[in-house]
Parts: sequence; C-alpha cells; structure tokens
Amino acid sequence: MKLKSSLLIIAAASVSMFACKKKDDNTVTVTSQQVVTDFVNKLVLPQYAELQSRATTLNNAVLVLNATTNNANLAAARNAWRDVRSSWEQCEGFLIGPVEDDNYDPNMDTWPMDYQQLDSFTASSASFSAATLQSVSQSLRGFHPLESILWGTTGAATADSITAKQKEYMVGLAQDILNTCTALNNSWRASGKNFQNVMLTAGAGSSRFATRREAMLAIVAGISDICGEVGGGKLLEPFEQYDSTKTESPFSHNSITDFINNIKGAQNVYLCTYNMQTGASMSDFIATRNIALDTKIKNQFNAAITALNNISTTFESAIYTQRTQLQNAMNAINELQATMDEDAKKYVQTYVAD
Amino acid sequence: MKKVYVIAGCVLMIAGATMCRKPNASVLDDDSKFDPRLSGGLATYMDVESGGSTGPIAGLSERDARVHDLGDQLFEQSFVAAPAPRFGGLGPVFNNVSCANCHHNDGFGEPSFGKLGSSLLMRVSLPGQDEHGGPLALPGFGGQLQNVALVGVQPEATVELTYTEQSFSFADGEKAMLRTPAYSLINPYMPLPAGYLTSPRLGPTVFGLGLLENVPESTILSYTDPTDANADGIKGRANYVYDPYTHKTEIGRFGKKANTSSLLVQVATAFQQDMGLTSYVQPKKSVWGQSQMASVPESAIPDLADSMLNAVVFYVRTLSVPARRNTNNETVKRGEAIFKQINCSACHVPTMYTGVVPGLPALSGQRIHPYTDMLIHDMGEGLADHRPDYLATGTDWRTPPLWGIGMFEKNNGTPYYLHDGRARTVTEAILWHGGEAQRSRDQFTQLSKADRTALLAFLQSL
Repeated sequence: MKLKSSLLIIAAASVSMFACKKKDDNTVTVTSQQVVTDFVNKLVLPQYAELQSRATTLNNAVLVLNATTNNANLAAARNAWRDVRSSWEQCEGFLIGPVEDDNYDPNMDTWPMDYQQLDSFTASSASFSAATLQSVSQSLRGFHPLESILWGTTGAATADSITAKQKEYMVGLAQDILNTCTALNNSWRASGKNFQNVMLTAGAGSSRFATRREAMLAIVAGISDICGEVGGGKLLEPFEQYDSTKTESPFSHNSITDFINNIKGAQNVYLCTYNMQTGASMSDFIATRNIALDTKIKNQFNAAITALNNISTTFESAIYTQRTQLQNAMNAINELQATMDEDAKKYVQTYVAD
Repeated sequence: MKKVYVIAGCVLMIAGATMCRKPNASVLDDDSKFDPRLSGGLATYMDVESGGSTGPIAGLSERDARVHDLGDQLFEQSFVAAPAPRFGGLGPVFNNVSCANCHHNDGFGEPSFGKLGSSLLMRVSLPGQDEHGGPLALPGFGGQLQNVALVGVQPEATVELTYTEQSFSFADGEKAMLRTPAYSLINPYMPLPAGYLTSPRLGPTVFGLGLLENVPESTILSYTDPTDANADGIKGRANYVYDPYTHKTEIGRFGKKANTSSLLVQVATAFQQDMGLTSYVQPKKSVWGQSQMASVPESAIPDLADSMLNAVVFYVRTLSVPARRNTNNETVKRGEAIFKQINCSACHVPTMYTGVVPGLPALSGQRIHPYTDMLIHDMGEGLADHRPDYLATGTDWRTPPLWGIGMFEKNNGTPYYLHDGRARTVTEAILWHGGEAQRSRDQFTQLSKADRTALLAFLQSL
C-alpha cells in the first residue's frame, strides 16, 4: 500500500513537472473545452452573423439595381455578391450541424446551374418571388443563378442587357439567399434552434456529441471535409475531365477566389482566428504536446493557399492552360487533408479523454 | 508398428474429444468470440466518433475506390432539365432533384412532400395485379406519384399530409404521443381514377445494402414460418418480385415491402421514378405515354450514361455499416438480453452470414448483424397501407434493418422512424408495432421503466 502511494506521489510529481516544463517553454496550454467554446463563440457565431449581414447588403444592392438599373449599381451588386461569397466560402470550413442537416448549403450553393429551366423561368409569364423559389430545384436557387444574371452567362452582362424578367428573378434570388443565410444564422443562436448549445454541452448532455472528443473530432472532420471537397471535387472534377462547364463560379470567374476562401475558412477554424479576434484553437491544443505536428499543419495551410495563388488565370482557362499549377494546388490540399485525417485526428483521439 | 498404434490412439482421442462436444454447437454461434462492434463484419465503418456513419468498405482497389467516389459525387449531384451540357434529363415530373436530397448523408430526410429536403414519396395503383403479379399501375399516373415538376410543367398531383395525435400512457405514467398520418392528393393534372390505392414511403438509409444483397436466399428462407409452426405468433414470408432487367421472378430484398430484388434495379428505378432519369435498366421516362412527355425532348439515348448508373450502384453497394458504440456498457448489455427476451429478435434477426462477391472480400463471407430477416410480416391495421405489392398484402411490411439506428440523430439531425416517418422516437416506433409483432409490443409496454431504458440504450448502440 505504501509503495503504491509513493508511486502515486512520484507519478503526480512527474506530471506536474512536465506541466511546469511546458509553461517554461512558453507553450500555451488550452483544454478541449476551451477549444470547443471558442470555436462556437469566436468563430462560428460571428461568421454566421457576418454572412447574414453581407447577404442583407447584397439584397439591398440588388433592390437598388432593380430600381435604378445602371452600370454603377450593377458593379455595386457584383461587389456585394463577391463579398457574401467570400463570407460563405469561409463558413464552409465548418460544415457542421444545421448547415448540412437542413440543406442550407445546397439550397444556396448548387452548380452547375439549370440553364434550360432558367430560360423557361425567365421566359414564362408567371411571376415569381423568394417564396416561389422555395419549391424549385436547387440548381435554380442561390448564388449561381444570381451570378448568371449579374455577369451574364458569357460574362458580358451590362445594365442594359438585363431583362425585366431577369430583374424579377434576381430580386427573388437575393431575398431567397438572405432568407437562407438568416435561417442558418438563427439555427446556431440561443434564441433560435440553438445548435450552439448542442456543441457547447458536448460530453455533458449534448444530444449529438456524447463526448467532448466527438465535438473536437467534428471540428477536425470539418477542416478535412472542405479540403476534400476542394482538392477532390471542385478542382479535380473539371480538371480531370477537361470540362469548364463544371466549375463553381464560371460567370464571375470567382472560382479560384472561392477555393482560396474555403481553405482560409478552414485555416481560421484551425487557428481560431476571425476578424482580428483569436481564441483557444485546435492549433494551440495540438501544439501543447506536438509542436512539430502543429507546425506541419500551419505550413501545409500556407502551402495550399500559396499554391492556389500561383494560378494566374481564371479557373475556367487554367483547366486547359495551367495544369501544373492546378495539380500542385490539389497536391498541397490533399497533403493537408491527409494530415488532418491521420495525425490531427489521432492526436485528438489520444488526448481528449472526456 | 508401434507408431501406428500411437497415431491411431491420437486419432481416437481427438475423435472422442470432438464427439463429446454438444451437437451443432459451433464457435460461430458464440457471440463472445467476436467483437460486438462489427455490425457489418469487415464492412464496418469504425470511425463513427467523427460524425459520419458510413464510408467506403475496407480493401477497395484503387480503381474501385475511384468508382465509389464518382458514385458518391453523382449521389449528391443535382440533376437539371434537358438539354444540358451536364447532368441533364431531370423530370419532366419528379419527386426530388438528387439522391442526397432524400437520402441525406446516406440516411433519410424528413417526412414531407415536395420540398427539397423531403424524403417521402407516394406509390399509387389500382386494386388487382399486373402481368407480373405486381401492383396495377394507375392509368395516367403509373405506379408512383411525381409531385414536383419542371418550370411550366404540371406535376401529377401534390400531396397534403396531416397528423392526428393521440397519447399513450405506460403503467408507470410515462407518456408517448402517437401521430397517425392522413394523406390527400390534390390538384391532379387529370381526374384520378376511382378506387385508387396509395402507399407512402420514406427514403431509407443506403448503407450496408451490398451485404444484404449478398445474404444467400437459403438463409432468408430459413427464417420463414408461414404456418407459424412454432406458435410464437410470428410468420414471416418471402416476397417474390419481377425483375424488369433480368425478366425473372426473384426473391425481394429491398423496398418497404421487399418489392425489389437487386440494387441495380433499386437504384435505376429510383433514378427513373424519383427524378425522371432514364438508364439502360429503366429506359422509359416515368411519364411515358402521359401528356407531360410533350415537354421534354424524346431521346433514344438514356439520360444516364451506363457508367454513371453503375457507379452509383457500386457506391451504395460498397457503403459500410456504422460500428456499434458502448457495447461494454452494462445497461446496453441488459437491453440486448431484453431485446431477445421479448422476441424482437424473431424478426430483427441479429446475426447472419453473407455469401461471396468476387473481388469484394469485405462483403464476402461476413458475419453481420443487420437485425432484419428481410421477410414480410403482417404488422397490423395501425401501419397498414392496404396496397398490395406482389406477395405483400396491405398490412405486410418488410422488417427494416436496425443497424445504424442509433446514428440517425447524429447523422441526420432529427430522426424519424417507420415506413412513413410517423414515429419521432424509437419508443413511438415500437408502440406502432401490431399484427405479428403485437405480442412483443405488448411485452414492451409491460416492461419497467428501467428495462425500457435499457432496451432503448441497446438500440441506440446499434
């Protein structure tokens, strides 16, 4: 018994010594609880609020364009579209919970667009609104049909070329996007569907995350998933099939920016950084016991973003003219994903015990 | 010479020892010799903590993994109206625009009609049988109602769904609400023939199907008891259905009434009936012969390239089953014992073996725990649709597999159960059981609160 006690004391002492040592090394020590809490409060909630706010700006800009259709207002609407896209693509770094459960993602971000039905839509005499759009195919809703009106399917739209029917459609689309973003934002709010609580109570009564480890793994999986979607879908499919009809934002040529924002969004999750605010991050948590792994992940994020920035033309032409750069970008993103799937996941499985 | 005696002695001893063992006892019957988490054997998805509940089965070759991925992408793809450079052929009438809209995260969506996240569809027919013994198509509507349409096209009809709630009380005072659905078809594009029958169906989960497709017919037949010879109140019959691709009558395995025999036909028919997309297996539009046909270009070439259909079939065939959780928990273990005690396991058969699929070892010879006998059973008036489907009567339903049932909430958000999603909790689903399952259901209502909790904990571990 005595021996056991002394062993315990020695064990306890060594644990505290190790703990002290880390502090000496200036390593920040964060708990998984802090990571989950800050993920919710410093990352998800502000980003969804910003998404809704930018969707409101877009909606207003489209209303202005509808009222006074000139090229200045068209340019303003295009900018507002790019802004809300940048927010949304960054929010794709955490496709967790209602955004997937309730189809908010496909309802506003499906491509390719349905050209045929869009033509029938804009040729028909029936009037439509955001309410009508609720029940039509996803390929007629959301960002990309709106993009096709603001830029034109050949990229040559001007204020004069937008028809009355297209204007009616564009007003419905902008309102529909705003409705989706608002619902998505509310789904995490305490005053709404309160999904934040599902996440915050992980391991303490959460209906979805029986342990905190599951919530932490969901965050890691969110990062990995978007890497998989960009590296294995958005980039790969058009690349492999030499097919520019399958790209994400073909009319505005915003695809590469979309991809960069996706990876930046995932990076924000990893670093728990958004809008100059930082919090206890997955990066801190991993660095506590494995600085080499944390450094590796940070470097791989930078490498992926650099590789995407190295593509110097639109994605639609890069498919044919910059295949090496595209391949490099996919390789960098795939490497990052592999690290998340293997090393980061194993780390979380090992070190989150509750 | 002596050596011979020694060898003979050894042989006799071994033979004797073997004969001492109980007849028919096999290590394969002993659950304690196996890892209880492996619901799908080698085809079990172990990474259930991270969020997902399924992924490709283990051991796919690089080529097969690529086909699986392509199938995955097509499963999520929204299809569009023809003519289109990519993914054309939708409609002109349909139920939804992508596989994933109904089979959300390879599971199911919500019990509603006509919305993008809706997972309900309505089968329709007239009383009687067609030339193959299947349901008699409703003239002008076919065998399935398409309640959504392309812009400018009228859907066949829309469906209105309302519920009536009634409460149920356990002896200990705990209450459950049971909701009975009522459906009405409104705004039909032409008058509905008199006396039509309807059957609502909620899109099911799509994992583990490669294993179920590969359970030997003899195994399924060994569970039948059409005369209730063992007097446990449970019969169980196999459905035999017509396969429109092989042109043969085969044992039914898939669908709410075991009304489809193969995954190829299941997937091709879903593309055709749910989305309006033709393929080499189902080459005719769902509106063939109807007035809506005029709104789409007629083409001799199927909407889906053969390789696209094959990739999606391969995708669902090679989706693994979620591993069980908390299998060492004492409450869960007690729940498992109760599950057997009140004879749930008579239909929800825990353990069986798959046959051999060349080239896919993870599906071959696996010891699996689907918790289904794949047979049709009379489930009583409460669940009846009164619409026969081959040998299944208006009160018959196929025992659905229970594997993965505990992952529904994590995977799909709000879970729904039973053929039409009327049950919102597992307790409600059990309370709806009638007919051959009446006895087990009644025993469930008599369990103590602690025992009911244990049973539910076991089901949540699946």
